[in-house]
Amino acid sequence: MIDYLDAFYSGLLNILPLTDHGTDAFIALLLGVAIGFVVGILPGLGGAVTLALMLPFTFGMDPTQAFAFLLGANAVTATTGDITSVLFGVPGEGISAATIVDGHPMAKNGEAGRALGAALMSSLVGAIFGALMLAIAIPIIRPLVLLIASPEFFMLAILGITFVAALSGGNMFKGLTIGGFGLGLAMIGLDPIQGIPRYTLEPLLGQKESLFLWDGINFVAITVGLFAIPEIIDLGVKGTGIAERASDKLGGVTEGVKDTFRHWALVLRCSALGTYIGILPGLGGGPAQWMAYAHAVQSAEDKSRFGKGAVEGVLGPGAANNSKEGGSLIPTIAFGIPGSLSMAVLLGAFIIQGLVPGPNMLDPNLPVRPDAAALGEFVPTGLELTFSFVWVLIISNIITVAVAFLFLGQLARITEIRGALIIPFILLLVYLGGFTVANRPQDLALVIIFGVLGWLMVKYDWPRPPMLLGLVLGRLAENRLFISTQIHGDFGWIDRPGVIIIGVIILVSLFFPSWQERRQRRRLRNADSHQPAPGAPIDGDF
Amino acid sequence: MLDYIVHGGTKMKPTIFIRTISLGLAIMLSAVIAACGGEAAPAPAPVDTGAIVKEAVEQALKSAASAAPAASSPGVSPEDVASLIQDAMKSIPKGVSAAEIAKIAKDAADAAAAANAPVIPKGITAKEVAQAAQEAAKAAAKPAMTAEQLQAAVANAVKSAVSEAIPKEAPFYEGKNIRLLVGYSAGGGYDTYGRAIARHIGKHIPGKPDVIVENMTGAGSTIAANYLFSEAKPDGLTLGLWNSNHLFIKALDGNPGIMFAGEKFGWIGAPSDGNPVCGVMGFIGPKTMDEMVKASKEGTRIKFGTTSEFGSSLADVPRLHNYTVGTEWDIISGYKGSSKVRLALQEKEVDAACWGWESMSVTGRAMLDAEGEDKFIPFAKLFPSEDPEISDLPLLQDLATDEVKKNLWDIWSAGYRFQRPWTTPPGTPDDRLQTLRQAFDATMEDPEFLADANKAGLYLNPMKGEEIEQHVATILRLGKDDCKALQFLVLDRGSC
Repeated sequence: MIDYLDAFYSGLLNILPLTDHGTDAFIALLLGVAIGFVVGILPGLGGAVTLALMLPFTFGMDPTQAFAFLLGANAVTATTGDITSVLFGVPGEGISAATIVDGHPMAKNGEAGRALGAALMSSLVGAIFGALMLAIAIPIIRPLVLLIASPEFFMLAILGITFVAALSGGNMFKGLTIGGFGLGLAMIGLDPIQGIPRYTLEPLLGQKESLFLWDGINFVAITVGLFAIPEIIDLGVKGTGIAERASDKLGGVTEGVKDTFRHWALVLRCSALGTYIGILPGLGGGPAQWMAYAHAVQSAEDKSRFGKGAVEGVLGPGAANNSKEGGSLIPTIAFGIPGSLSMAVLLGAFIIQGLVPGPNMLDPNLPVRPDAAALGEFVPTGLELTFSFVWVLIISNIITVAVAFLFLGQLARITEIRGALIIPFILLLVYLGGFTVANRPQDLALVIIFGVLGWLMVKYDWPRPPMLLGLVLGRLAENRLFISTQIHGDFGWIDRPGVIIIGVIILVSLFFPSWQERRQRRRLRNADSHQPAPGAPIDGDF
Repeated sequence: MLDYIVHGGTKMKPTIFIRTISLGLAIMLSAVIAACGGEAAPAPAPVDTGAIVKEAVEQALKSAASAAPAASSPGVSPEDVASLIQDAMKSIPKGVSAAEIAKIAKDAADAAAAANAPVIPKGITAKEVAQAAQEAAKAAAKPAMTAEQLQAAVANAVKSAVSEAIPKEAPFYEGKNIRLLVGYSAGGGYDTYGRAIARHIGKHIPGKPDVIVENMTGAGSTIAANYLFSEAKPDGLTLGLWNSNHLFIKALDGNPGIMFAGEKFGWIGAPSDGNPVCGVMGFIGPKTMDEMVKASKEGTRIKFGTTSEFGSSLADVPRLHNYTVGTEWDIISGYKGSSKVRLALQEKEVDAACWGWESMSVTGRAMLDAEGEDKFIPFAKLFPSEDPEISDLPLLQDLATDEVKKNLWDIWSAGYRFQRPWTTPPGTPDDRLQTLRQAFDATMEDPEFLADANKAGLYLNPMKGEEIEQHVATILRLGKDDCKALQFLVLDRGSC
């Protein structure tokens, strides 16, 4: 225990500018944070690609320095990605798309400052939560990850889709329909089992052009199209700035910070959700934010406010997309299984540093590299380095949030700029986002097609998030179902305990909302008998 | 005639080109000497030097030919050249003997031959070479010089003009950028190898171009390969790095998305070969190849985790083994890459898998070092290896039941003799391909690159472009019978 605490403390010292090697690590961390800050704000350019490009610069660094540099950059992209999502309705990162759903309407209501304050503060809380989980969970994590085999992965994917479909739109039928449509979109591309092209529109596009659909539809292009294009059309039609109403006192940054603590239980629950989804290799950051969003909706009394600027809808994803960083580091460190694309790149950094993920990363006494003495550079013990990861996640987010707060007032005022001036800039962000993921011009066509679709969905009041969930999780679901049937037979996988537990949760998530609604209606009826004002608002919503 | 000699260089082969240069130099030199001499001593008397000059030129031709053995340039006979030189020598000074002229001509030819062809980029004509040499000679030759001094000065000037002035004039790659199209996204193995080499290869190419890596992802890198084949400009400025397993799949006609002919690419070089190794988890029981085969024949179900990426060792090796040895290993397909298979092995969802040792020995280290049930035990390999961890393992093809089946392993494994090769689009000028090959080979020995690669844990065992060409030919020679026999690898999709 003393060893543990001691390593926890030295892990911090090793990245603070108090010693020589600590100063080096701290400078590396600042550099990483600066890069991550910008990358997060720019749409399209994701954390994983940035890490890949930064990797060669770590050749000359010692392990603490290298990971301060890389983790620092990766940790803050989700935080600053929320800023773009809130202000422009364009996801700054793929993993900050859910922040748009309520964050951008808040900006439209003149509450940009509040939304940003809430997003950043909840991000910070989420990041710290995830980091602490990393510190606590590492010794006990192995059974938790290994419990989840292919059948459970399949069920989790279905859970993610139904959860969001049932909750995010208010109308379960529409939600499930769109979720199913998303699943259908996920079928596009080479099938994951036999490698046969499906729905690649070969007769329409020609053999050669259809190849760009072989890897499936570009997720970021669709997200950008679905969410940003309708906003741009809307903005153009209105002729005002992004904010339709002038910001008032309630719209301030401090209000957003207070919101985070007002809804502390929600923020912590979403942080926990994000961490656990992060731990599971294969689910990735996309589902974490949406499931947190769905949870925020599900746990709220009045669901009708969501999508129109409810601060809970910002807090949930804000916390989850940061807490998942700590979570996804767990399987990477504990046994070298990367939980996401960024983590796969980070695994490359382990190799560059000559580190082997696994038990030695938890050893409080031995240097993390056996040949440390011969190296002549500073080499911490395995546990110290792991705890440095924890501290890097925390400190880099504190720095980012502190820096961002300096500019938030100014940033929020962007929403007051006249639409005609800001639209070209947002369009640039939109196409940049659609293009830079894979450098393919065809993706720009997807942005437009799904932009039109998104506009129609907004107009006719269909929820958009379930489509993204279906798209992201559809491949995983199909793949894991197929593997399950190969191994256990057609239905042999159904009686596994994990499958049954998740199945029950799915059923609950499907029926709980309508049950809750009925109960609410009954309560309303009871209230009606006392108060002679039919149709009165359920809570203090004005 | 002269015009043909000096301008013809742009479209000639390098060997002919060298000779053209030497001829041009010989002619030009004689003219220079004549001109210089003319200044020093006016009123020249015609000297009958025809025979000696003819001999000198033949000698020059011979020495050029010995540097680049080939038939002499068509249409230009030594007699033609001799008569041209003779014309140019009408104002030869008295002090310079024919023997000395011959010596100068020979030196010039030697100098031209010594300046080896790839150093002089194709864009430069023989005329330009000649002009540079002529200017150098003019500067060196002073009227007051004795014949001996003149000879030495001019010969030296020409030598340095050829070896220094010419390459300096404009290597093709100077001030240009080379694009390397990587068929996979940033951060993967292809990208990591590609970027590591791209950082260093520029300094080994004359002109020191920058090499810019571009990720053109999609369809398992066939998009990049197709683009390289039919759309990229074959100017030596666009290079590609894509999965060469597609060559084999193309030979089986197993992927409608492949729209290239493998034999037409230029092969620059590859950083390594690959050595697929099969391993099995400790919990299942059998630990050696013999036990694995025996267990399967006794009806034990052994599950192999595989991908749907045909041509990769994960997907092909267990199925090829089943076919050639008669085992009935259970193929569980659908995993995305070796990291997902590793997880499935640890979850005990599958029991065994085969993938490249260069990756397994690094990313699977913890599993290889584990004990008991959790240990991943290698039991067979594709190629012989000196790595003590796998040196004793049997070769996969050794268990094949007959020669035909053994041969199938040979064909299949040709693609693993080289991994992640750099290619040029079809029709890229040969001299640029040679330049790139030399630069690639030099990079593979560059200490700075080696240090980088070592840091990044990149396994290296470089393969030269010429050798890759041969292995590619082996794959593409796949016969009709073999193609039919191997159709199961692409789910009977192709027509042979």
